[in-house]
Amino acid sequence: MKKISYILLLLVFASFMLIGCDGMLKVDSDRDVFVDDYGLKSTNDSLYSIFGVLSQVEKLADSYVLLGELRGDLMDVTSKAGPYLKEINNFNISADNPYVNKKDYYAIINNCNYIIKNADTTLLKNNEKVMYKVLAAAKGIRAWTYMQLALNFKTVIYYEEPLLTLKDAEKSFPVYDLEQLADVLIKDIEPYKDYTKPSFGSLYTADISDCFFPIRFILGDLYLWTGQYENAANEYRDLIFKERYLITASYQSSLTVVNKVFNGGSELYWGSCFLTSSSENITNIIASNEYSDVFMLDSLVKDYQLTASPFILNDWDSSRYMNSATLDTLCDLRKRQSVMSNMEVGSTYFMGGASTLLTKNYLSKFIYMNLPSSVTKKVMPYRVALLYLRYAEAVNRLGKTHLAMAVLKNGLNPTIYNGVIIPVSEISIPMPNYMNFTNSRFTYNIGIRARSLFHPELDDRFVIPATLDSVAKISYMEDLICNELALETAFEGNRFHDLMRFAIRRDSTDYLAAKVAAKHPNNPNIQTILSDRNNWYLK
Amino acid sequence: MNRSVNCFKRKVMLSLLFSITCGIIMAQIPVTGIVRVAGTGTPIAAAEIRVQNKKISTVTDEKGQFKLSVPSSKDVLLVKAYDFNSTEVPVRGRTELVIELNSDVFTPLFKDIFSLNGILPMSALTASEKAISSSGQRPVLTADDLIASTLSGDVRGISHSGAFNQGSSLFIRGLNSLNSNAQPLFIVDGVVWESMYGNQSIQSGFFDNTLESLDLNDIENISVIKDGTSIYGSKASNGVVLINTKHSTSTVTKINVNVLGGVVSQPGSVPMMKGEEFRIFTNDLFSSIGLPNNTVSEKGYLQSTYNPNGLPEDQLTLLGFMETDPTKVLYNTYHNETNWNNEVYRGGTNNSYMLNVMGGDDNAAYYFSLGYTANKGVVKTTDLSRINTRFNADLKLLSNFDMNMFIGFAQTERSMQDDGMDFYTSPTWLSKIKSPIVSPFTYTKAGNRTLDYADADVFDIGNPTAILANSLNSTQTLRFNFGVEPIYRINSELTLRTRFNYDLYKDNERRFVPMGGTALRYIEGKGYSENQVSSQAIRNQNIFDETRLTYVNSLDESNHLKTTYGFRYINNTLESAYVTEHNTKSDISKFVTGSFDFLQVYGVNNSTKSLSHFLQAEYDYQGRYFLTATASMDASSRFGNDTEGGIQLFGRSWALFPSINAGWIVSSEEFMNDVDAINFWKIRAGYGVTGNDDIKDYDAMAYFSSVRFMDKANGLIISNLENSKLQWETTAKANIGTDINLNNDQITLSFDVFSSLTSNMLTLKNAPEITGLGQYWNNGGSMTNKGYEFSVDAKALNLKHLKWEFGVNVGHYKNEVTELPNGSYPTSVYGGEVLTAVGQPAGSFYGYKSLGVLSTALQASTAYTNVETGAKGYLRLKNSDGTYSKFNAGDILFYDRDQNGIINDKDKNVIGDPNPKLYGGFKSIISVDRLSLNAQFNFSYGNQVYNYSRNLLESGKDLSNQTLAMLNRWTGDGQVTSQPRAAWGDPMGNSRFSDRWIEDGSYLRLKTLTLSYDVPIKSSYIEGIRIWASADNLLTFTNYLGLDPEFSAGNSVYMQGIDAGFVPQTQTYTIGIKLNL
Repeated sequence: MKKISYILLLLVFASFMLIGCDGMLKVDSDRDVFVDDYGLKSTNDSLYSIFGVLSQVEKLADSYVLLGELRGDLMDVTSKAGPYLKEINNFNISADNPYVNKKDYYAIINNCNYIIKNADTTLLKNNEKVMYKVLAAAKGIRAWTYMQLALNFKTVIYYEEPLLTLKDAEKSFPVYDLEQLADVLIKDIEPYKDYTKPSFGSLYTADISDCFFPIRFILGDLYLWTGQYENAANEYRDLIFKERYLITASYQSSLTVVNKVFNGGSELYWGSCFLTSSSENITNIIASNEYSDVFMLDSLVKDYQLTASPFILNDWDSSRYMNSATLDTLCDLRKRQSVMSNMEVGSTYFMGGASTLLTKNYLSKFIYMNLPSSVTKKVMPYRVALLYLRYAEAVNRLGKTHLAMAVLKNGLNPTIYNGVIIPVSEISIPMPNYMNFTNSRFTYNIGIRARSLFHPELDDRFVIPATLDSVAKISYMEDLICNELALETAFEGNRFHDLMRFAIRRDSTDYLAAKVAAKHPNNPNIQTILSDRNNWYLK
Repeated sequence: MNRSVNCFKRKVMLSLLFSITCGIIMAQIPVTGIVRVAGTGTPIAAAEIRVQNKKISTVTDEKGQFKLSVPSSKDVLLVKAYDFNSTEVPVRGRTELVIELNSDVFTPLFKDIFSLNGILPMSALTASEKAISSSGQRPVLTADDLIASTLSGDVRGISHSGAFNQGSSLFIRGLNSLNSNAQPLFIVDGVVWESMYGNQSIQSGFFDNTLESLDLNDIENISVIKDGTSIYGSKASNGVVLINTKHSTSTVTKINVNVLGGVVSQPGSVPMMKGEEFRIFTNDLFSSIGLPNNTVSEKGYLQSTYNPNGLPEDQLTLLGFMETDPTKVLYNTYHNETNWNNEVYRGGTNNSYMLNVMGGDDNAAYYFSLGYTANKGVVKTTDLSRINTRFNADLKLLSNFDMNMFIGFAQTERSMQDDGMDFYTSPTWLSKIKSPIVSPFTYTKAGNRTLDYADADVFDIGNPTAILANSLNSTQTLRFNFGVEPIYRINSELTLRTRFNYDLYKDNERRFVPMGGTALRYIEGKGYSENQVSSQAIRNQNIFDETRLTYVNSLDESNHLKTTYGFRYINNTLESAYVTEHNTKSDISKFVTGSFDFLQVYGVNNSTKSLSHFLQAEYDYQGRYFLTATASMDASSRFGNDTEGGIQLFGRSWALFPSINAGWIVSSEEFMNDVDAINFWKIRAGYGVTGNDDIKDYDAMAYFSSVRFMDKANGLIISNLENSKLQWETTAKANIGTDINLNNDQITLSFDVFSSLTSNMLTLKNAPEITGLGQYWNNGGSMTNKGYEFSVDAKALNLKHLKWEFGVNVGHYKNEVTELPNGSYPTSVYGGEVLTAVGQPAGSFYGYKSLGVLSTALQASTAYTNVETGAKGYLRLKNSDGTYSKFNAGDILFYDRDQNGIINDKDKNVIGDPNPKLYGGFKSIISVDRLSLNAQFNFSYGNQVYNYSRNLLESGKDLSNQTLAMLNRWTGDGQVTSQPRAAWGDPMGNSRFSDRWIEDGSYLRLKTLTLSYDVPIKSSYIEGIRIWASADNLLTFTNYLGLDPEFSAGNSVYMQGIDAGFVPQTQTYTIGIKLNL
């Protein structure tokens, strides 16, 4: 009997041990955070999660630029380039190419989804629903990433839930192409376009708010890709208006003139657009220059693995610099700050330097984005000149060819509505919102070209031929915009997708293929490869 | 154990008294006999004879005779006598017995040993178990080394390296896991010993060996248990090693002093090129890239960064070391014959001092020890010192309540140098590859040698002498444990005990790679590193508790049952912090400050909790039939909540591990009456399931990890998906064995056949792309091990004064991967590859097959025959830029397995197996009265090894010095040789991982030879003095071309058989004295 009571006691004890085990087996860590403990209930949590996402966006910086430019017509590889760069350049990309990795995109999306699903939007701070800003920022990053994914890989797997379990990850999700994706994304982000960026202060000299993608810019791009030009133009215009993004003379470069003659000297300010403190910044992908090894671009440039194509060099050299109606020369000063000939490895001095005896064309634009003296480096997916050029592209397709021309040449300022620069025929009454640059804040706006060609408005050759019909005018102007994108934003990462967009819009595969094939005089295959639109996308 | 034996002895005394009074009443069968000494026949007086499991016993008279009445003819007599090994004698219906006892100089065959659930007579074991008893006179320092050298056929033990105290890799019955820990579970004093195999030293070539904190002098016994280990369920799939430390064995105070000292011989070197030979070699190398071979520059400096792909184009003509004019300033700099081996190595020494005291009274017994060990390593500037102390106490607090205490502390400090083939920092490796023509010291412009250390030389190879002087690498390890074990005897049948233990392990490491003497290193994506400082701190805290309720019941005289229920709870917390940074600007700043270049910080803070319930029943019928049934039920924080194996209870997944083992002593059966030659014969059989819970912490859970953003801020990102199915690996083991003693224990045979199946192996799988995550651990795949173990032990000579025992101990296993969920995969290891593929043993070397050197241009141009057209041509190699290169004369002819004319990945095949066909050892113990000579041989047969050192030392591709084998390199058309040409950067991959580097790793080694002498002294102060001398690694027979055929580059299954160039084991000579006071 006594024995039985012992055994009973034991059984009771054992069952207690079993039931109590869940708590006994619960583990914790100071290094890792488990889902239960991480609810995004405070602004601190949101800070950690946003920084986490931004650290993942960093990983896209190199591939954004290399996939966008090496496949295009402006950036080329040198003989020193590594095999992976050559693969991209030759549209022959192997499975282990580190610059082509869908996972990097989905990592951003998944982390954004977590923020979006868990942000406590009821949280008030200073009577403001602070989490909406975080939510808008996360939605913006997510939408931009999805857009890049669709542009590079043709289709995306679309999901809105954070995937935290293997079971969830193995579910099937819809597959969208860019059109379908744009529909979904536009609906998703449209309500957030008026939220300002969250303010997380600065790290080193980099303002963290420059790391976010403005919803209107993304909306504009999505509309542009899907042919909704008026919507696109409105979004771009409103972004310019609300954020006071201006193209003024502050970054204007010029040749020095003595006694009405160019004396060989120049004052170069356009490159300052790329500095950290520049007002040109809209969205930067930033990284620390100190210990970080996430960006390799500057090393690739310094190693001289990358160079400029003959086409873009010639393009700059054949632009017409107008000092006055009577004094001009062929020279685009943007070239001098985009490529350089004799950049020593590790050199701290790179500004200036002769540009005539070019043997090695280093892509010095990246050096402005990664000054040796600076602790931050960056690439710039979105900046003001690009915004203006996208705006020009949209309004041109709305038939406002002269308005588009003004973006390049005269500047979007209140004086352009004089019936000359923009003919009366283009000015509808009432003036549509997207055309409205009459506000005094735009008074000092100059043309994009004016920052490097000084007085392009005096250039009588840079005009839309009056003889063309309206359809041909649009096409003519679009070519100019396409070319201006090259001159202004070469090597920044948007080229291949720009060419794709123009080619798709014109339904002319050759528009892209011919331009890119020109970079490969010794490889006739490239034209053939690119004649199949499927090859525009990565596998 | 002694404590328990002591207790046991007391019981025997009691039962003796009891039997005298009442034994006679129960008697049924009278048995008479004589107990005498085996070999000589001298009668033994006062030998104790007891009937097993019964309270009947007697002692022999002066003539060795005894008379006893046993209740049953099936009874077994236990016979013991002082100075002799005990034996067991089945009565088997006989009434007159001649019992022979062997001197305790021989290995005991019937002693009581520790098993998983307490002490058992060896004959009652149902599992396959081997034991080592305490040993005083060994120069080895750690328990794993002792196991490796003594139980070499039961455990395949391989020393990591010749560096002191590095421990061994141990494999029991094959390889039972691929990606998890495959090393046995250590149970020290009943506590699961946290192995910390996952910890990595920041010094290359060093291993954390947590067993180093146990002094061998403190160890009472070690048991290796190979099957039937389900009581440790999810931790026991690689077998269990039980270690028990000493407790007081008597109430008399005993003091024991052990002192030893020894010397370690300086390691040799494979024969390397001399100065002129090296100079000619470099000429060949340069001409392979079309360089003028005697270009001399006054500057004399080749400013290249070490770059196997080619010299920088603008710096090729500055070859000052080619200077032949002795009047030129550079001549002296490049005309030395430095013996780099002597610069780095030296003879080492070992010293060890140990004192222990034990004693007490009936209510409190204690054991206390204090030890100090110091070692001067064979690599200059390296040393080690260890201080250790232990206090074990056994307290009887109440008549039914005992309390045992265990306190241990050990602290080890060592200075070290990087070991293995690290091109930048390892002095041992640099001593091999550094050209003899340069000196450790600089020269003045006038050509005079200074006493300043030279920096990296013109070949960009560091100066090991300078590194030895300037580096600062050290480790300090501390281990402390405190344990208590209250034992409450509820009544005569029920005992409740709990074993609690707190264990703290701390390790602080620092490392400094100087700029003076090291080559400038380029770190991908970061920049140049001139010097480097690192530090690592590890802190592991383990709380362990195991409670057992034991019920012992003798149902009747024939049926005995012992039932145990218990639960075990382990809570382990591992914290570590690692910091490294570069370019401290000067070799004076050797400390981490956080403000230098390329700062990198890493750390873990992991917690593991596991819980186990177990139940064991041991049943014994008449001392002839034994049955042990065990089942455990384990949960762990590492398991997912929804595993496919096991059961679900209370929201957790529980793993179930049953095992059953049975033993039958055939020799106790009556039908064995007439087979006197067999005095003991047992058959054992067992089947059991165990597991491996060595899953990374938190792998089954979703979690966020901290990342640095902009090197300043912290961010959190999703880092792991919840995989609720993640579970333990399962290993099912079957075993049949037999133990036979012949001719009154003169010959002992033991034979076991085993087969195991490991399933649910941990394998890496790619996470679905949309999660943005990399790989995750999953269960799948299986692997088998089949093999046998055999041992024979013979008392070859058993004379009065001369005794000789000889033993052979052999093991064999065949490992085969039988299922892989994601197909076969290669794993890169040390410049080579191992393949994991179905049908192959784990760890198989995977590379190219070579068919010699292409001797002539004609042979090269016809090396390939197109199968379809019959056309002949060159074999080719595809370059990274898409072009092809031809294999020319002087290149290796690789086997073109797919016959496509191109040598590429598809031509790889399995080229070697690191698993031995046989492993084991021989032992011989010869004793002449007080003198004893003990020899222990170890061998490995039929295993292949990858000689990575030779791969680099015969690669002929860079300015590293080469072995003399490279003198036979191909230099001209028609030359028939086995060494290919010297070619800068090895563009054709002649030195790629191929069967050229796979060698037969078989060896036979006289591991230890010990001569000991018990000084005949009788004094009231001194009870005994033993002096001894021992030599380790005295002889090695092998065809292996490297320095030492025994090495283990790591505990992982993938790392076996790879010679990573660690310090070889050398001969060690030790003398010692052991005093008993």
